[in-house]
Amino acid sequence: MSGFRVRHEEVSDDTLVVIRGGVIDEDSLRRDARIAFLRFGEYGVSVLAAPDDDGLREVEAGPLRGYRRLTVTTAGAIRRVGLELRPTFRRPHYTVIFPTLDDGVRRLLSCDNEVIDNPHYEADEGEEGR
Amino acid sequence: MTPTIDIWVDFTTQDDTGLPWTLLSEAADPARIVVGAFVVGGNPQAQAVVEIVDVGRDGVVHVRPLPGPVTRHAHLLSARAS
Repeated sequence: MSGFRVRHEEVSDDTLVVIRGGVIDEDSLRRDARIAFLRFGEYGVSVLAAPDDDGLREVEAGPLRGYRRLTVTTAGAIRRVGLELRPTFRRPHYTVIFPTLDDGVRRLLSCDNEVIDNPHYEADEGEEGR
Repeated sequence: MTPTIDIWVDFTTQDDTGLPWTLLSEAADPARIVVGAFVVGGNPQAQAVVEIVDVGRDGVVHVRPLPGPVTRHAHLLSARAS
């Protein structure tokens, strides 16, 4: 088993906007963190990050376009709940590392965040709000 | 109506391939997860028709999501056992 590949990058302030697809919910966090553990040996969940609004638009329109809503927070907010934001694999990907499954889920659920509509989400015909 | 999900995918994931990934154990029917197949991937908050790009011996599955709603690409979906 190989761990997360880490980029050498400073993640130092609140200007880095961190985005996760969907509205954060406990069941999905647990499942995704378990999947990461099975592959990498550490609990964690994926997030994408952008340094500015243009970067945020790229993420909204790119990998996360399938989500009607997105959860947005900052690197600082993640740190303030005692979690590590680790630069992993290729930009703009990061992993929020959980010390343990239960503790990580609890801390991330308590993190300040904002839920925004994804302007690039394309609803199915006849789909109502979910 | 939410489409039936064939394999759980968190579309926020990426690894060095740049593609979202999941595990074969997250499939409702692992026998349908073969390279080149089109299935519904996702989670309760986002679903997409995804192409199975590779299935590793370690059970890691990379997928390529097709843009837009599942119905747009429904003709590509491999037959499901009923």
